[in-house]
Parts: sequence; C-alpha cells; structure tokens
Amino acid sequence: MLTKEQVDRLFVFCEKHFVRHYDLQLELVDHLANAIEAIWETDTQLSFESALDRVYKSFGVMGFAGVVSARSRLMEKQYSKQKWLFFVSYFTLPKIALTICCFLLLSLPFRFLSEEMLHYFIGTVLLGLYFFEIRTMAAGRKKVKKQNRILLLTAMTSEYAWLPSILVAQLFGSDHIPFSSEKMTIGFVSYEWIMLVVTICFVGILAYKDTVKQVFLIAEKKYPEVFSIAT
Amino acid sequence: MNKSSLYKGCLEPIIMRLLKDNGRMYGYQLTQMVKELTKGELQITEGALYPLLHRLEEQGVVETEMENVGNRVRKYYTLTKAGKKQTIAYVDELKTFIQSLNFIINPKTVG
Repeated sequence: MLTKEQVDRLFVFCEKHFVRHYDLQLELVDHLANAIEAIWETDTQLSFESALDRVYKSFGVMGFAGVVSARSRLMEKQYSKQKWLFFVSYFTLPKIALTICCFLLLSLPFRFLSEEMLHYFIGTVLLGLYFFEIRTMAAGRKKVKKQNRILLLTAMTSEYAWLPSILVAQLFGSDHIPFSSEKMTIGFVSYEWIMLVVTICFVGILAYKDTVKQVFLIAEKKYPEVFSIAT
Repeated sequence: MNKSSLYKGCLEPIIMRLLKDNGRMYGYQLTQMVKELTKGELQITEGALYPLLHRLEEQGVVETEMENVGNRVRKYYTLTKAGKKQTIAYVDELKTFIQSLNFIINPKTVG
C-alpha cells in the first residue's frame, strides 16, 4: 500500500496536471494509487515516479483533460438545473404565496403614492434589490473561501454572473426608452409590469441562495475534511 | 475495423451489469474486472470510464459513497433502485441486439 507521503505526491501530481478540484483529485489519486500498487506486484524494483509515469501514460495524450472537462460540463449542467428547479418552485405551491405577496407589496404603492414619491420608492426598491444581490453573492463566495480545498461542486456557486438588478435599473436610466411621467410607464409597459420584473429578479436571487445552501449541504456531507478548521 | 468502436455503445450496459452483479465497486476495480472477464479483449480507458460514471451519477442511475482506505479516500459506486431497473432493460436490449447481429453474421437457409 502507498505511504501517506506518496499519496500526497499524487495529489500534487494531479494539481500539476490541471486537476485543481479536490472532489475529482480524490478519485484520480485512488485510481493512480491502485494502478501503481498493481505494477509493483509484478515489478517490485520500479521507482514510484517511474510507476506513476507508466500509469499516467495509460490516460492517453490528453492526460486528465478529458475527465476534467467532462466532469466540469456535467457539474455546470447539474447546477443550472438545480437553480432552475428552485426558481420554478417560487411559482408553484406553497412558495408562490411568497411571490404573490412580494408582488402585491411592490404594486400597492402605485395606488397611494404621488408620482414624485413613486420615483423615490422605485429607486429605493432597486437599490435594495441590488444590495440584496451583492450581499447574497458575497455570502456564497465567503463560504467557498472558508474551504481548505477547492471543490468543483461548490466552485460553481461563485460563478453567479447574472445581475438582474442592474438590468432593471438600466430601464430607468436609459434615455432611449420612452418614460412617461404621466402614468409611470415605460412606453406601454405599466408600473405593475415593471414591479413584476422586479419580483422575478428577487425570486431569481432567492433561487440562487437556495441552490448555494443545498450545494453546501451535500458538499459538507460528502467531504467533511474540506470544511474542518484544522488542515 | 477498430475493435473499440464495436464496444463503444455497450460501455454503459457493461458497467451497469457489473455493478448489479457485484454490488458496490470503484473505478479501478471496474476497469480490471472488465479486462479480466474479457481476457484482455476489452480494456476500458480512464477517459471513457470516469465521464460515464459521473454521467450515470448525475442521472440518478448510480449513487456514491466515500470510504477511507489506508491513506486515501475511495469513491464507491452502487446502482440505485432506478439503476437496477434500467440495467435489466439494457441487458434485454443487448441480448436482442446480439441475436439480431447473429442472424446477419450466421444466416440460416429458409426451408
């Protein structure tokens, strides 16, 4: 059986060959170790490095690249699918109640506030949405930073590229979109439609938050050593 | 003809059948068992095996568990309930395929 030092060298070998994520390294290290041990059963004089070279050659000219890219694609697909499922759950029972409440809360001021106050209200809502988004993303990234190894499983959560609040804010900032000051509309789009878009953006951020929570629950169960404080 | 292209489409049912017959297995064990059973005729490359296993896991056909083995951690694969059902269907399909192929390779004269 390989010593701890030899196993550690296999992790370094994987890292050197562009396998940066611990969850994939674990599997490949075990495979390499098994193959080296099998070689040593017939060729006891072969050095560890030579045996490793021989085993690595069996992965072909591309080395680990095929395994890494296939795994990355699969994880992205899984992550996107899970995010979508969480997003859709906010439009089905029971979470649709929260979505409707949110929309109503945002739409009601239209009935009571003056046009000037509505401007301030919309600005406040967009600012709030933006900060909620930034805070949620930062919390996700902080969780990833606390790990003592990089996991492909959780690395996906840092790649939240969608900033819906910026898109919505642009609607109000743009000179090219006709903004009617009479009825708080953008062209023919009414205030309620705008608040519906804001609600959907808010739900999108909640779905991302739920996905991050679930991903970390799975990661902590499968790889507790990555989340332990002592390295 | 390249032998590996003949086996290409059969890799998934082969792996699932081995998992069904042997309970839980790990990646290296699967490659060695296939090599042993086929007397070296079929050698599954790591580049083919691991993407397949990961895809089966994503589809819910297999599930995994980690176990400490000596100085390292090993990932074991086991068929799920859905995976076991799918394996039976796959094996039946494979048997029909082999039979159909046999009719072409060894045509019987009519009458």
